[in-house]
Amino acid sequence: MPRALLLLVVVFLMTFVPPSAARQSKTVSGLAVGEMTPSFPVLDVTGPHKGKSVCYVCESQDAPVVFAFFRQTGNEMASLVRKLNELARQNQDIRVVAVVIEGQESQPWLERVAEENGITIPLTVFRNGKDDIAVKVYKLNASASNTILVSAKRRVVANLVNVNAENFKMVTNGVSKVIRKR
Amino acid sequence: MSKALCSSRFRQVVTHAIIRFGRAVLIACLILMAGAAAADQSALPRVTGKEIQALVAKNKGKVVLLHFWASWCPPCAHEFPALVKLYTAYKPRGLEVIAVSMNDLSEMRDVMSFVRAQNPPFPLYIAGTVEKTFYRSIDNRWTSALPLSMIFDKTGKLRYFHEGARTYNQFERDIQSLLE
Repeated sequence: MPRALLLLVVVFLMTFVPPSAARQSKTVSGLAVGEMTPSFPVLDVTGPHKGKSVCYVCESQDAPVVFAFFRQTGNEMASLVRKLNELARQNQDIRVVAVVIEGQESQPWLERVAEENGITIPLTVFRNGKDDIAVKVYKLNASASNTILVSAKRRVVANLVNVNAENFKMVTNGVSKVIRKR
Repeated sequence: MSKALCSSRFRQVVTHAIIRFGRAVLIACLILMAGAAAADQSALPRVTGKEIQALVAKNKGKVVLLHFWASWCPPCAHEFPALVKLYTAYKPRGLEVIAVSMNDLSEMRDVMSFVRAQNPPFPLYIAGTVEKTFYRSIDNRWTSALPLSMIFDKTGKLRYFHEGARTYNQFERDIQSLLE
């Protein structure tokens, strides 16, 4: 009898709970949808303002922007950066910026990734690492491996946390939503 | 006799040495004080939202352009020369410009490099905080976009609110309409 009950539960879960929901992150990080995106500076490592502090929110004004905040560098980030770069290539109206939260020392790594993969989106770092004022202002959760914010007209349109190669479609969908609205 | 002369000479030498030492200490102090004053000039005064409102109110009778910028904001750097030109042209007719940096206080060195490069003749300040509360204390409509220009008429009433960079001609149009 208990075995039959267990089987029933397994069948129920497999039938009604979608696999993506089971994988979906519960971590909360970043500004919520609808919140305004404050101006903040980053140290540009590979972008057009290489070596300088720059505010890409300011530069983009009302145009759509995807900000991908990464807790740290690594293979997972490199894989996502390639995908983000492809996304930017396919949607020329959208600016995509990758920001590494912890890592003044990660600049050589970012330069290498950009060079080896032909990355054209700006790869940047917070000047003050995890103590940067933007971490607080953007409500970035230290336990999230990444936080991707899609914004348009200085408002967050999509907030995606712990994105990986499998669920990257969430970012594409967020961008499509912005493009449809334009 | 010679012993007394010697002693008096010694006293004289010691007295002179003390005077010279005192003078040297005084000069050193003056140099240090001048250095401290110069250091003060390498930072902008911090202001709160309330203090900014007071600054605007203090300038009643003039048209006031309240401007917010940051050293890392490319459109701000592009727009700033227009503000300098505008101030030079319209100050004699009653324009006042108050510029507030939205840099974090830790970025003072970048701020001062920006200031030295632009060399503005109008008063400059730095926001005491760059958190949401500051933006709200200035105007609820402010999305935190930079640059921001707010133009007040001679009675102190806010007449123009512009987020984003503007050209000299756009500024001039607004200012002229309020100076007439």
